[in-house]
Formats: sequence, structure tokens, C-alpha cells
Amino acid sequence: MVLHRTLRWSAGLGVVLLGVIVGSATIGPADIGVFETIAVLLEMVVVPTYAAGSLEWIHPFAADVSTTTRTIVGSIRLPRILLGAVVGFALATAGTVFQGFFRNPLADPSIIGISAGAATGAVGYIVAPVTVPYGLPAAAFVGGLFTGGLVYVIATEGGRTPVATLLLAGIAVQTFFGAVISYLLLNAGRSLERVVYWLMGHLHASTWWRLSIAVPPVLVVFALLLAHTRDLNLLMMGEEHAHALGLDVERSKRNLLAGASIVTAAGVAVSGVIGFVGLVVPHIMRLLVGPDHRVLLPTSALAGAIFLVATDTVARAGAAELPVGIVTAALGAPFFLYLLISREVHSV
Amino acid sequence: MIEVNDLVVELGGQQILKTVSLSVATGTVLGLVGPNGAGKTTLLRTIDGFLDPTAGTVRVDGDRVETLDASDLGQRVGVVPQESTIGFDFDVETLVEMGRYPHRGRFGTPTEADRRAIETALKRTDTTGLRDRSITTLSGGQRRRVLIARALAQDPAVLLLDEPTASLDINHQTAILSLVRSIAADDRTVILAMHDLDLAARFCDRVALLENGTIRARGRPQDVLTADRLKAVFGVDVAVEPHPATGHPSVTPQPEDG
Repeated sequence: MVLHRTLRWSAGLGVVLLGVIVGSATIGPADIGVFETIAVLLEMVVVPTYAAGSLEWIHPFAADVSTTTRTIVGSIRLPRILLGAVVGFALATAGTVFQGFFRNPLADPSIIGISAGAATGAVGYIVAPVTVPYGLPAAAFVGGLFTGGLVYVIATEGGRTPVATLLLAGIAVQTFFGAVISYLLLNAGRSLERVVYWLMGHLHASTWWRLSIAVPPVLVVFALLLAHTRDLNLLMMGEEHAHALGLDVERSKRNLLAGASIVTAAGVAVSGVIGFVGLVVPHIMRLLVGPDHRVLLPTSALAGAIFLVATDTVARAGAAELPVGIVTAALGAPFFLYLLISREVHSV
Repeated sequence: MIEVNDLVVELGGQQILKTVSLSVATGTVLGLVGPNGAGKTTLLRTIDGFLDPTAGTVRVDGDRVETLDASDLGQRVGVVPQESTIGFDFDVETLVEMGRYPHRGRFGTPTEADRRAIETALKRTDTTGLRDRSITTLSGGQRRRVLIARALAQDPAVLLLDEPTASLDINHQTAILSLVRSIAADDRTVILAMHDLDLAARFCDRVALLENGTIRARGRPQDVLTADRLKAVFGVDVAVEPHPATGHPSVTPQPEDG
């Protein structure tokens, strides 16, 4: 029953996501029609075929479109759209896990300082006088994970990690890294603009390569988190209840924390600190599908993908491109308030 | 069968339980009574393995609790914690299904056995009609029954209830305690922490009187709940007389100037 509900909702949201992706691919400075866009997308479909003793990749939907169109849709717009989908998926996943884990409606992916740690890594790298290939996402990813681990170690005593301590340790570490970032900003010099742009969160200059490093960790960890959705349900009732129902509370918390930290760090590493997605999307989905994480986690993840693709389309549709972080907050907040006012909200 | 031997529990440097020993035979109901802060809840939490003892042992059917892994423990010991505000709106069936957690793998849908256990638990607690209701819309008595159903779905050998009748009217108090008696009747061991001495005397086979982390007395209700002992422990004059209808000891506090 729960499985059917999950599949129905996920299928519905999957179709919406596909529609948003195609719609977004038609939007941009160059005027490319819907059919042309779909033709380019279909052209990219490959089917492995085994013929004459060797494996060949066949494009069954070869289309008659110009190289320019192909480049704009396939190499400029599509990687950015898909990266947006992956980042939105990751942030909404992390937000859902953290809100359930902390039983706190204000929890979001930045709650225990992972975003701040990733930002410190990224800003440190931008300001530093050296450049190495893939250095920026690597520095952000490592910074985020390091912070998650640090907060966990600080908050753990005698094998137990009280959630309240974790929260407070997270706030302290986050504040500290905030100071580090401010200091780096003061000394950023010519990199200042780049740093500020990164901190606002953006999907500018996305490439297939950037997409390819974000997808594997996000999908693998998402699958692992999906296996912990019943744990989250039990934890929402309090640790005493969860223990009584046969949950290894500390181990489960450790797994959930590690998983949510990895997806957050992976998302932030490729796009900067995009706020609001991880906070608001799980709330919206909870209003729609209820608190059961078996339904909530996959649907929130898909809704996060939809939300970020849609907002990033708005961000790049205007004459001057905006960082998407501005748009997520500017559009997300009123929408969330509308939901709050129009529906009865009793609890998280 | 539960055996507690020389149990010492410290919380935040404070000794809450000081060498507590007791044993409860399968099929019996033990009532833990005593003043607030005597250590009733701490004792239940330690038996359940939620708190680690500083010294001493707890055995469930011969096995030490700390040697059992979480899901094994969840299959053996069910707990109905003290009333906590349940502010999320899970429906009743989903909540009761959570009782199957220790019996299920990480993946996969409920088995026939899971479904049967859920149905039995709903029926036993008379909550079948509430299955689609959100827990947030239920009355205190209904909520208590649902939490008992959740513990029953675990199909545990031992059931621990922390003040299951607190803040319920007399009708619901009796209904809950009758249910608890019938649960013990199918070869389960039940321990209840409770404040109402009358009800403890009426529904428990044995009672243990806790004071300051030690067991002051334990045994049959009529032997433990004497006027002198209750005065010494609670600091209130009480009259204890056999109940006219049931013959159980009935406890009435006496006004100080009366």
C-alpha cells in the first residue's frame, strides 16, 4: 500500500520533472522551438546493439537540426538543467533527512555546518594563489564532509550522540566557519566577485563533467538513505520510542547523518550554497503526502529536482542572469507562505 | 521471565537506582509503585536496555539484555512509554505497523505474519475502527490503546508500561488495565509503573514499592501496601481496608487534621 502510494507519486513527479526539463531546454537567448528541442534530446538517446560480433551504439532518433542548435541545447542548456535537477534532488533529500532526524521544522541541509564547511573549502580554494584541476568542487566537498565529521565527533560522548548537542555543536562550528569566510572575503582582492557569486549559489557554467562527478555519490547515497526511511519514522517519535521498537538508535543516527552530509556536500560542491530548496521542499511535500518518510523522501527528492530546474530557468531567462539562490528564496518563500495559509498546518 | 540483580543506575553523576533486585515470572503482572522520583521510570528504561546499568544485570528469559542486539531486544521487550505529545500525524495503522520493525528486514513489503500481527494487535486493543485516523485526532484513552497495540505488534515476551492510566478517566483506566491483564494471561510478563495504589492492588499479581532508588517491599499487594509502610514512604496518613466488593486492599489518604 505504502509502496503503491510511493510509486504513484514518484511516477507523477517523474513525468512533471521530464516536462520541466524539456520546457526549460527551450528557454534561453537563442530562440529554439519545442519540437527542435525535443528532436535534439531524442537524438541523444543511444541504444547498445550487438551486430556483426561487436557492440555498437546506435542513435535511433537521428534528427535534422543545425549544429548550433545541437550545441546550445546539448552542451550548454542540458548539462545545466540536469545539474540543477541533481542538486535540487540532493538538497531536498538532505533537508528531509535532517528535518526528520532533528524533529525540527527549521532544519535544512546547512543545519550542522556542512554548507559552511564546504563554503570555507571553496572560498579558501578560490582565494588561494594555486589552481589545480577540479580543485574547487573537491575543496568544497572535502570541507563539507570534514565539518560533518568534526561536528559528529564533538557531539559524541561514550558512544551516544544527543541530537540537541549535535545541533548546538553544528551552530557553533557554522558560526566559526562564518568568521573564517568573512576574513577570507576581506582578503579576497580580485577574487571577491567570484567568491560572492559562488556563495550565492549558481548553476552557471555547468558542464557534463561537473554533472558526472555529482551524480554517482548522490544516487548511491540516496539509495542507502531510502533503506533508512523506516528508521526515520521511528526516530521522529523520539529516541526512547525508537529504541523500544527495536531500532539501533545510535547506529541509525550515524548512518543518516553520514548520508545526509555526503549528499549535501556533493550538491554544494558543484553549485555553491543554494538556500531554501532543502528547507521548503520537504515541507511542501509533507503537506501533500504526509509524514511517512517511505513516501516523503523519494517524493521530496523529485520535487526538489523540479523546483530547482524551474527556478534556475527563471534565473537565466531574464536579460541579466541571476544567481539561482536568489530566485529560490524569492519564489519559494511566498509559495511556502501561501501553502501555510491555505492549508491547516498542525505540526512538522 | 525477568530477573533483575543488584541493579545500580547512575544518571548525570546521581545514583537513581541503588542495588535493585526483583524477578517477575511469566504470565504475571508486577506493579511498580512509589513516590515521584523513586526510580520507577529509570528501572523500566534499564530493563528495556535504553539505559545502561552502572552495575548489576537484567535478564530476559535468561539472556542478559546488554548482550542482545537492538532488533532481538525489540522482538522480546515491548514498551509503552509515558504519555508523550505525539505531534506528527501518522495514521493509526502506520503507527502499529512500526511495531513490526524488529521482525522485518530493511527492504521488502510486510509478510503475511506481519499483517496478521498488526490485525491481532488492532483487534485486541479495540482500535481496528481507528486504523485510518490520524493519531493527532484521537483522545487520550484511544492514543494509549494505539501505543499498546504498537507494542503488541512486536509480539514481545515482556511488556513494560509506564503509567498507562495517567490522565485517563476511571472507565478508560479499568479498560486499559483489564487489557493488560489479558495480555499477561497469554504467557507474557508485564511490568507497570503506576501511581494509583488502589488500581495497582486490584490489577497486579505482585507489587514492588520503590523509594529513593531501592525496593522497600515487594510481594502480594495486601502484604506490601500496609498503612504503616505507606505512611513511611509517602509521608501521608492512609487507611488501608479490604475493598467491600473485591477484597483487594483499598487505600484512602487521611486528611492531616482529620
